[in-house]
Amino acid sequence: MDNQKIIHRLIEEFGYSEVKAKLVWQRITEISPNLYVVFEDWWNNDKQPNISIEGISFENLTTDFSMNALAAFLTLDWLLRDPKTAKESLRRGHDRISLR
Amino acid sequence: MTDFNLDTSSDSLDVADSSTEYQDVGMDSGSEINLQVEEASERLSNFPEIKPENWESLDEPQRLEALQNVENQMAEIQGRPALPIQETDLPANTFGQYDGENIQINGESIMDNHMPVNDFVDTIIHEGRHAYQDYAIQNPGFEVDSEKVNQWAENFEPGNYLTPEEFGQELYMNQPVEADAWSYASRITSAIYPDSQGSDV
Repeated sequence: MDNQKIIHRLIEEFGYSEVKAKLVWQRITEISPNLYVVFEDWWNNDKQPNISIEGISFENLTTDFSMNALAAFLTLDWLLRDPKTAKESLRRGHDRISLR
Repeated sequence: MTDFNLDTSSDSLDVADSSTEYQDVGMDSGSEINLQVEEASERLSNFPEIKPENWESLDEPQRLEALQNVENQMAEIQGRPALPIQETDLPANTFGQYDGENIQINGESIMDNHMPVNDFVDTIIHEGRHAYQDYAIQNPGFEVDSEKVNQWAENFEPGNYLTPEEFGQELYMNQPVEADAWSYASRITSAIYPDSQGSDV
């Protein structure tokens, strides 16, 4: 895939800054090969992933946790690599910081 | 539905050098944290209102008061001003918020008896740790580990904080201010509630 086009799409379509787009794309290229196949199908063909890891689905992450698709793929990859930590982290949810 | 079940048992871990060199330069950051954790665990373990069997019978104002007491104790231990605990509307799976002046908890969950009291206490300690980080940034020298404070300051800069909604749970958890807050709160909560479910993250 053309990296320049990918970064451009991440910026235009998903609203990342250039630095953040590069960070996200670098992480996406490092996900498990099996998961990357699913990612490519979504990225290229807009095919909605029908995938669940450790009982947590792509849909759970995008709806219940309000993640965008990129964040959901990165989280699914974490569930593959370190399921215990990832599941406990998701169970505890997250917080928010909004400084002055 | 595809359900991956890959063998990750061969993953290697980077193990940090655990050797210790003692230097006579006053208390280091790790020792200070250990003392705070020990003091907090001792004090909060004696709060009857945050024991699971008592928490369930508290009404909403009593629960807020109990959580305010936790924050007051933590602020005193950390040597920073205590912040008001408030309820606010937050999205599902967002348990707390630090806005620079207040600690806010999800108003929908405060009376939810499915959420164990240790998760509430963990949230207050976690958000209070963000208050400590912010205070350390605003008051140079307050935290002895200036390198850590610099990392927090950079992480708090506009545009540098990684939200789970955009970057996923792992990048969110592992950024400096969150890794520190999760680790700190988890150590204290695990000491107060040794039998609770969950694990250090």
